Order: sequence, then C-alpha cells, then structure tokens
Amino acid sequence: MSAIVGTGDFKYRIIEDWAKLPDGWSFKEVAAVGVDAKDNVYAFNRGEHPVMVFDGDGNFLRSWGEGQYPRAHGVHMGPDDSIYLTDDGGHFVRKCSLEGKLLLEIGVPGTPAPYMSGEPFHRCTHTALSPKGEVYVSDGYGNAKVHKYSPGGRLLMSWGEPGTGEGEFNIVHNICTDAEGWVYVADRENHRVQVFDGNGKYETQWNNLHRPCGLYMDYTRHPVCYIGELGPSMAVNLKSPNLGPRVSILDHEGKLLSRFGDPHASLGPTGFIGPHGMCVNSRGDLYVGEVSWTLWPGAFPGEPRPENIRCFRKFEKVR
Amino acid sequence: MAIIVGSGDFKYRIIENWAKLPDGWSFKEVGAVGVDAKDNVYVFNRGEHPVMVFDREGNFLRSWGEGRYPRAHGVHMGPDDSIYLTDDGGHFVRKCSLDGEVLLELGVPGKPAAYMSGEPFHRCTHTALSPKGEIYVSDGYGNAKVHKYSPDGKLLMSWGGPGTNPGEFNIVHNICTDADGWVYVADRENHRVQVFDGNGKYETQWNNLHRPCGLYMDYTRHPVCYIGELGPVQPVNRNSPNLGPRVSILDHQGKLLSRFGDMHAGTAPTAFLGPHGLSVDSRGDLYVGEVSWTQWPQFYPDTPRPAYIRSLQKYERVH
Repeated sequence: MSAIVGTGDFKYRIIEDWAKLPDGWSFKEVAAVGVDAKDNVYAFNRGEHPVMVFDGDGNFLRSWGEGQYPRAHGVHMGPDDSIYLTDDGGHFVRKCSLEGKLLLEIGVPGTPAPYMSGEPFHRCTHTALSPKGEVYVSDGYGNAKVHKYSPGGRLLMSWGEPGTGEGEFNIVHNICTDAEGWVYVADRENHRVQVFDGNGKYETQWNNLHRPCGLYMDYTRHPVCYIGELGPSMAVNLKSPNLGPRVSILDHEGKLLSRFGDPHASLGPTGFIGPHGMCVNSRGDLYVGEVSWTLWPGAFPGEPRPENIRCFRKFEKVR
Repeated sequence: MAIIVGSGDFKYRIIENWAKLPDGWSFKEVGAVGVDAKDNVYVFNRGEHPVMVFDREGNFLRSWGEGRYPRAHGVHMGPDDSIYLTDDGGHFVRKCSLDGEVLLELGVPGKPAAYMSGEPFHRCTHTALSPKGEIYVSDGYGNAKVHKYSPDGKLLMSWGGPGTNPGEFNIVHNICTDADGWVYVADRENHRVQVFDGNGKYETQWNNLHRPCGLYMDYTRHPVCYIGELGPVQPVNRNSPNLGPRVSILDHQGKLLSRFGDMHAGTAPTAFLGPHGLSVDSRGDLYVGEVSWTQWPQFYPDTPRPAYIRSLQKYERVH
C-alpha cells in the first residue's frame, strides 16, 4: 500500500524508490529538480553525476555535467527546451541545452564576489525568467540580492539588502515567476515568501511558513505555489513537532491548500528531512529533492549518517 | 560624549555602567527587568543574587531570592506593588511583594510537565495580567501554550499548540497586555508577535521582526511596544548584518517607530548580545537586560567567553 498524503485538491500517492539509478550510482543528495516538455525529469544532485535524467517512470536516460558542478543548488526549466542550473558552491548560473550543452554562463566559476557586497554572486541559489525572458537570480547565502539580467546575460538591475523589513532578505533561497511577471522570493530565514513586481517593487508577503526553502510555480496566471519548508535546526526548538520539514501548497495569494510531512524530520514513508527543490509535471505529479545528507547531522545530532539517505521521491497526484 | 541611539520620538542617551553592584557581586546575565511605582528597578538575574533592586540612579538598595531561582527568565510588575517572577529552569511563577515575600506560586518548582504536553509548565517564560487581574503565563520552551489563571491561581484556560499558523507557537517567549485586554505574545522562532483577545482568539500578527524575545508595553490603551530581538546564530546567517540583536519600538498596530543596535552582535555601548528583558520607567527611560553569557558562544563559538560581559544598560529618553 502506498501512502497518500495531502488534502483537498492536492493529494498524492508516494512513489518510493522511483528513480532507477545505474548500479553503484548515487545522488548523494538532490538539491533541485526540473521537468521538461516531455515530462522527463532532471535531478540536479551533489553526487558524481550532477545532472541525471529520467523518464516519467523513473528509467534512467542519461547524465551530464560530471566534474563541472561543485555544489548543485537550483533548477529552472526554460521555455525553449533549456535548463538553468544554479551552483552555489561555484558561484555561477548556467543555461544549458537538455543534453548539457552550455548556452549561457553568468558569474565567474570559482570566484565569489565579496560577502554581502551586493555584487553578483556570492553563493547564488536559483533562477527564474520574466515574461520577456529576462533572468532573475537569487543571491543567496553570501549576498541579500535578486539580480535581473537580460536574456543574453547583461546585468540590468539588482534589489534587496540584508534585514527583515520589506524588500530585505535573510537568505534569499529560491525564486519563481508567473505569467503576469510577479516575482516570488523564498526569504528563508525570515520565514516568508516576498512578492515583487518585475522590477523589484515590494507587493506583499506570505507568512506563517517555517524556513521556506524550495519554491516551484507553474508558469501560468495565478499559479499554485509549492513550497518545501525546512524544519527546526536550533537546539531550542529541534524537538518541537509541527514545524516541518514539510511540503506546503499555497494558492497565488498565499492561502494554504495542502500540507504534508511528519510532525518531525523523519525517514518514515511520509516524512521529510530537507525538501529543497521541487517540480511538477504535466499531470500534476510532484517531484521533491532533498538535501538529506547535509541536514542529517542537524536533524539527528549524534546519530551516525547512513551511507545512502533517501533524497528523491515522486508524489503522484491523486485525481 | 553622550551616545544617542534611536530615532524620531524614541531617542535615548546611553548610560553606561548604570548599576552600582556591591563589590564582588555579579549579575552573570540578566533575564528580565521591572520598574516599580517609585521608579526603582528590579533586575532578575542569573547570578547568586537573583533579584537586585536599584534606585533610578543605579544605587543598590537590596537583594533577595538567593538560592530560590534556578534560572531567571521573566518579570512583570503588578499594579498592587507586587512583582511576578517567571523561572524557566524551575518551571514556576511567583508573585512576590517588592521585598521578596512570596504571595502566590504557580507550578511545582523543579517539576516540569511532560514536554509539549500542554500542561503547565515546561520552562515557562513570562507573565502578564488581564484588566481583571487574571494571570497569563507564556509556556514556553517546552510547551507551546498560553495559560490563563484566576488572580488567585486557578487555571481557567489554555491556548496554542506547536506550529506556524495563527494561534500556533514556536517558542512562546514573552507576553504583554494592554488596558483594553489585548494579549501580545512574542512567538520568537516564528519571528512574529501575535495578538489575541483576552480569551485567546487570534486577532492579528506583526511580522518583519527577527526572533522577538523580550516584550514590554505600558499598561495603557494603545501602548507602544518595546521589543528585544535576538540576532542570527545559525552558521548560515551568523555573519549577516542588520538582523539584530537590537531593540525595536513599535506602535500598538505594529508600525516600526524606532530601532537601535549595531549591524552585528557586539559589546560596544550601542550594540547588543541578547536583549531579553525590557522595562520602561515613569520618565520613559528604558532598561534592557541581556542574556549575554548564554548568547556569547552562539555568536563567537571560537572565542573564549570573558569573565564579565555587560548584561544591563539604561537608555535615558531624550525629550
């Protein structure tokens, strides 16, 4: 029996062990996921094969990027059969063909801007596209900025500062857009999603979240927002139930539609450890990549980290 | 040269070394502060003399509570020349006369309720009074509840549960009331203050805060709210500027009026380490107690903790 999670119009059947990896291969952990127009799935991971591609049934198709991605972080699928990969360890964004051919590179691999300088990039995290194909980059762990680039990679503008006020950021972790050009930013350690117009003017914010980390929205009008929330990591609340890690699904105005995950971080069938990157296919099925390897010691202090920790699952939408 | 901090109507002159302790005495660190009708100041601290009383010039008047308060946490001054002391290490609340005579005790000293059981108390944190003299207790580190007691200590009701939604808590750290009966709760690790009616019905919340920890409000209609905010202590954002620790002053609807503190934690007169308990006297002067000893290793994990760290400062209102 597969477990069913979620509520209302957003219920899912969990498909365990969905990805059929080649013998001896490992994701180590999955930072982000993308789905192309054919519903093939791109798992951007921190193992030796940074991009692994699967068909909709989890059959392995190909891999690429070996040796080229120090630390996988974010994925965004372009409308032109392209994939935008953001590497926080390498401080760069790459637009690639679906076979891995490099089409555009932003940032200088291996060379971060000074911490909190506001200059791109210091551990950039994710990308999204405007209706005109401009590229937004969230940046990130060592800056508190969103940068906007022309489709060809010229820096147009940046916004944001460190802090907690409107338009300020405390770990800018993921970014999404919709077909009307609104920009949604996971402001992780401020426990909120901020919404901006296409030029960085603050519009509103969604609260009542816990460390929103992974964002996914279909590129439509009024899309639903899928949010991976990290759990408590400080000693003071590590054992508190009901703070995540979990997945929450909100409407485009921030109203909670569905939420699932165990009361605590867990390897149980319905639990999460670090839901960090997500994507939805044409059938509404949800893929969730988790940074389980990184978060294990924080979630389970003193417990030896297993060799292979679950870090990728498919959640098949129940109709 | 006087150092002035704050802005608008809430500017303060920093009075360094205000408290004149008896030779060889120490606060270790200050959990909370109260001011009585004569503007005498009660410093509830974690040293060997848990309650030290000073006049408004900082002259030492008396001490009490020796050996009876395992871990000072919260102070609320009653309207009847009484002081409510909340001890999170001892799991109790005591109403005392200003000379330390115990008038009422809630909880069983040394005996916590089960973690997250919802039963009083598991590391309770603070108290406030309703217009009828009923006692609200925030509880705390090991529960996610506000309890309401009759003036003589009978449990009337409790509300809250762990989580991030309205009415849920993630470290219920401080509590205040106003003369209209509204209840303000510092929901610390949800980075917000929640506002309830006198029976726990959620009314609204204030966001854009960072780990709001200490709350103080005058017991009037539409009081100003003084908030001590803790700073970032996770490796991921410990070095980020502009997140506190700091003091923020908000109007009764949550609008920011004044804010001060350095860009990072520090020991300079204008900086904070852990502004944990605040109180204001009849002239508008502000006292800020800090849990500096506890916070030090969280900010400076590799720097030995000094024998003395400042944990109390007076901020004289500039009129």
